Amino acid sequence: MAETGNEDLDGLAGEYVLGTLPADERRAAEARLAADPAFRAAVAAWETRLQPLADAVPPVTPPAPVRDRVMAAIGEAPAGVQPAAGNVVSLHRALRRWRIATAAAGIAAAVLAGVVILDRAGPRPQTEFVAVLTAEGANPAFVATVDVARGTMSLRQVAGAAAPADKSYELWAIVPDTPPRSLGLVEQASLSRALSEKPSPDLTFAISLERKGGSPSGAPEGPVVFKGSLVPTE
Amino acid sequence: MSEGGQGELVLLMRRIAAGDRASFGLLYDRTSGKLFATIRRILGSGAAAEDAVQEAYVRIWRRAADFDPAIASPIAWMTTIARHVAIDMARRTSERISAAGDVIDADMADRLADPDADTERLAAGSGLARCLDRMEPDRRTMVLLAYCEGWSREELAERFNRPVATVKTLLRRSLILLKECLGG
Repeated sequence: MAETGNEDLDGLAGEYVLGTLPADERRAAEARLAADPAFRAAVAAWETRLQPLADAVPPVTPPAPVRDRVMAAIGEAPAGVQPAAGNVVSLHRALRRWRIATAAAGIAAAVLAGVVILDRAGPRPQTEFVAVLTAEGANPAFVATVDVARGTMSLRQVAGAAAPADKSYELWAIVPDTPPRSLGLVEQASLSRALSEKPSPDLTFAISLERKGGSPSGAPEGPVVFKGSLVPTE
Repeated sequence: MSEGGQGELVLLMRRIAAGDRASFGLLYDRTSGKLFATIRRILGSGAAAEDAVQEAYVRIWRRAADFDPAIASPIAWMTTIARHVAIDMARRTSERISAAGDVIDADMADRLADPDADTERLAAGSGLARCLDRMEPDRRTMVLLAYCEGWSREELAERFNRPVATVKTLLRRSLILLKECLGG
């Protein structure tokens, strides 16, 4: 996950469009699309550059029953409703709503160190939360989704580097008037943890930089490098 | 597609994002030939290609609100969705990797490697055709096999007898060269 610099971002975006990324990197790229406007622009630029190759193929009309199947399938799925909790497409949409909500509320995005979205859309009431964890004023580095039904949270790194070799990233769940609770070390680009805290706008996720192996005291000792707190959007 | 055609697609996308099924039907009629052709280059002409085009349009419907006309054309945005659906399906069937060596390889790769074949059909004077022609033949073939046929790094590594990591490096260098040639 050491995609820094414009050339790396551009190479990643290019390979995403080309289709040569391995499946896990492609999913991470899709999560990043939701959170990172620069990456989204780089992907769109590659789509445009390479489109003449797709345009060069003579059209082939699909068999008529395919159209019927498509129209039947979308009849069951209203536009904008995502099929499953926890997928990155929901995240994309949730982030878009967050941007709109933020603009509507007149909140400068730069003020927010991070944001967690309560997604009320779709047939299931409030089954999912999304968090974007950033460093102050920087691009999103992690996205977290909370599956309310399962009581789990998943964290995925979308940008930035791993902790320095002699340090560890440690993930914390923080609610007011309670000591932060460790959710363990962040040692891979994605992880999943059980969550006992009730998902609400009061819940914050934070990642601190601790000595190797994590804070020995069970409380954060190092600096908080990324965090995201909950903001309901509707 | 003409500028006017793209403008109509942008309007349709806006209505589709608001849940307009009739506009979606129109979008399907205007674009499914193109997406089906793109998908068939990756999956062949069997039932899988029909499944893929169906799945692609369901995703287009669901994600319509994410489309941003300021940064890409509707057809470019839709092409990426369709190609990723097809590539996912192709990679789910592992036999494709072993088949790649003999079925696609000799015929398709050589044809693609020939700048007079596929690239000739690119619009006359197309910057992309000119820039592809300038590339070293193996690298051009890698880019074309990946984009047009959905080949993975592993498949390319086998075809060109190079380590997978090298293929990644070559692809990224080729992309940067293409971008520079096209004016950044």
